[in-house]
Amino acid sequence: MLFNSLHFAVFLPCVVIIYFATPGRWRWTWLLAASYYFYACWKIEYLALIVVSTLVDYVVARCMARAVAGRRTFLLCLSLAVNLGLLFAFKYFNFVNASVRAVFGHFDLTYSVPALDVLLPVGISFYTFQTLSYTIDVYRGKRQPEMHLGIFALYVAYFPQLVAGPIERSTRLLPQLRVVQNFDFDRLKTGLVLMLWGFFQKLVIADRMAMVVDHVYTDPQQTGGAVLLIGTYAFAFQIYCDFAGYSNIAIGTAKIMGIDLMQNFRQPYYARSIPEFWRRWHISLSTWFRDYVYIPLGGSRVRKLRLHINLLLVFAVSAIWHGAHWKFLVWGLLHGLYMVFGGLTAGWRHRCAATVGLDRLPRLQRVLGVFVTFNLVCLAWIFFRADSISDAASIVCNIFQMEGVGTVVECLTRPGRLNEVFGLSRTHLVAVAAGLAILELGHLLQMCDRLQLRALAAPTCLRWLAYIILILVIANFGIFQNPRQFIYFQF
Amino acid sequence: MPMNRLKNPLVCSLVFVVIVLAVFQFESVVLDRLVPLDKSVKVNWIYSHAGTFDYAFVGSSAAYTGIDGKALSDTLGGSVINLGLDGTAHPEQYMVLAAFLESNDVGTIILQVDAWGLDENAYGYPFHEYLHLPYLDKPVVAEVVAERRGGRLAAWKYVPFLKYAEFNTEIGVPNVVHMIGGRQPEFDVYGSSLRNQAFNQAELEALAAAGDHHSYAWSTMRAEYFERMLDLARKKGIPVVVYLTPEYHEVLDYSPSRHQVVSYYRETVAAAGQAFLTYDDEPLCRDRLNFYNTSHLNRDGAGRFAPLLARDVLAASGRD
Repeated sequence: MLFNSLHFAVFLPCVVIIYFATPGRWRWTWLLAASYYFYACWKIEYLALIVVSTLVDYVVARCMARAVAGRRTFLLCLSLAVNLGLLFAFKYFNFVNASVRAVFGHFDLTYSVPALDVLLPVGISFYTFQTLSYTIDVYRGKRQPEMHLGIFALYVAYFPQLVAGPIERSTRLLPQLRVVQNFDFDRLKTGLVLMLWGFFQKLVIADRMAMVVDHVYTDPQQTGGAVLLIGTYAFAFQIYCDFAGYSNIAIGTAKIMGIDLMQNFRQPYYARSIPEFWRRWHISLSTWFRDYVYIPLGGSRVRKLRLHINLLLVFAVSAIWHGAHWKFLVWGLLHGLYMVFGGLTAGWRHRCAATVGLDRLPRLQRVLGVFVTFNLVCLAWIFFRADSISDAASIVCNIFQMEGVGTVVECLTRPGRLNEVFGLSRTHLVAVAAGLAILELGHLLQMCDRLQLRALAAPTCLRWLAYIILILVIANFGIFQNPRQFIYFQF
Repeated sequence: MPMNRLKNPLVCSLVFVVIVLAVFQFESVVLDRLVPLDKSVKVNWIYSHAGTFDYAFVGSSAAYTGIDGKALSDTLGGSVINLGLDGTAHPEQYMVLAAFLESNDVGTIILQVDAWGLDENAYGYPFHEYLHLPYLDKPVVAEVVAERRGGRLAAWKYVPFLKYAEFNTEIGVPNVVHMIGGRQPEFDVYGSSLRNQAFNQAELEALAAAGDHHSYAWSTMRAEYFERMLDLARKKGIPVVVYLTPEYHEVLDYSPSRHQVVSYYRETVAAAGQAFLTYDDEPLCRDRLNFYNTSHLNRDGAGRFAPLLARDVLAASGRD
């Protein structure tokens, strides 16, 4: 079930009304049933994977609490094997198999392992990481095992964040699922406003940017560099608004039911460096890798060479988490290299800034930092979005040759050309411009506490006016025909 | 209303919802008035007419791009309007014709048909309900939209702004943007859009490649609407001439059910006591310079076709 569907528009009010009408001790049953239904709408058979994952981790964690040290490690390995095994079978087997076949083929050797005819279960990477974090936390003694199977099952399958996060931690979500929440009108309002913002990001910006990106990336070899550059910037906003939009809808939905999910994005394109970008982008995944991969590898308290290797390793794993394709690996490694290179050149860059007097102009320094970081991130996005590494390479080459500037200028004067080159009508262009202006206004509000306080203290009529304008923008400029799946569903 | 009443969650929610609905209703009413003014959209152009025409051409893209209004008007010696709409099947054509006849007098209706028009597998011919939603107050539009889209008609009619929100990339704000931008229609004063393109060889090859695998899915629904057009004309006492659109001769080899479809049209039209014309054997159909793809005449082809059609229409109506 998509958030941006009529189905969800009927489903959510039903779930919320019945949730608050149900006696507190039985609410988990209703939420669990609703969550399983939510998932089953996509493919009922794959619900079994969630159930298996739930049962294994529930039993393993309970056994772990009573077990001695060696047995605890064995139980942890068992949980990892089952969860990662399922993930491997459904997400990575065909990729590895095809890669091995290619290597065998290169040496003219026979290789007869067939490909698996399976669909990638929606959200498998998300709920697998969520359950893994629980088992690891129990193993580390950071939390006691959950005794209530129903509550634990709900922790794994809680529908707002089931298919695309935020990837919650057991220490944060499980206690909230146990608390009986009373209906709170303020929470309802906050939740609805967050959902509204999420729908705006998804329907008005992401889905419209998708039209540009799909058009421009269809035949990258034949497309001018300037057009590809704009297409790449469009993708940067598409993926951000798509994923942040999903996260906001998920957080808003959960908030209505009295549950606080973690923030997943903090205006990532305002980051002044790549490390800062990763503190603002997909925060729930970044912190997961920090806590369960980077720190166990030694964190920053190791020698420099080891630190750099660890960074590359973490980004490689993160890249593979995103998808079973070499292009994702290149994307991840690029970010890893940015981090390593950034660390190696930090001192030199500071000295350069001091030499040219940039350190006396902190604002300019900040703007430059944001500009460089955004462009580095966009360079990496090319590998994420392109159909293959060779396509991505040719896009990068074309962009650096910077041909097609005339075509872009022509698009501004001739609407027909705009449609040919970017797949956009004049109406879409108006919508994109208006949408981006509102998005940045929203970011400004989120970043500036003073403005935020003033907005919250504004008279009801002004706040309502803002909400009504947002609703009107969504109704007039959102893309409702053929709803698009969220990009991160594929991961 | 005193502001402290708004502290009551129920009252507050209700007031907000009512305001939102009122705003939507207001915008809906404004757009209902503005959208029809965008005459660069053919449907709006058609519905804006109220007058008398000697000849009205009805059909799909083959009529839209293949009827040379000027040449036909000169040869037929009367006023001509082309109601042909790109990518439409008989249900939409019936709806447009019926709505047009409610406010216009027509001397003769000339219906264009083709061998693909009754095949569900050949072309999807989506029903472009969104173009007609601002005209739901016309009984025939509401009737056909209800037949094709069922209960959704009520939602489009009574939920404020729903129709403009659902199809916001097609109608509503886009029309306003067209008007502000001064977009010109791509059709001429007769309603035709003659094309200058050369023949598309790739399309013929694609058709040849798919030809053996093509299975014909007869659309009873489309046939029903075709018969309703004949019936409508009969009730209004308007003579009808039906013509099978000229197609490039090689395409006939890839259209295995053509004979069956043509027979249906021929027999149905004959049963209605009207004339049925075909041009398969004309030299016009053997020269690819007359076509921009296998089943669409280009500007030159439309110019050559006009005297042939005019001759036959006059003969059929006993005015030659």
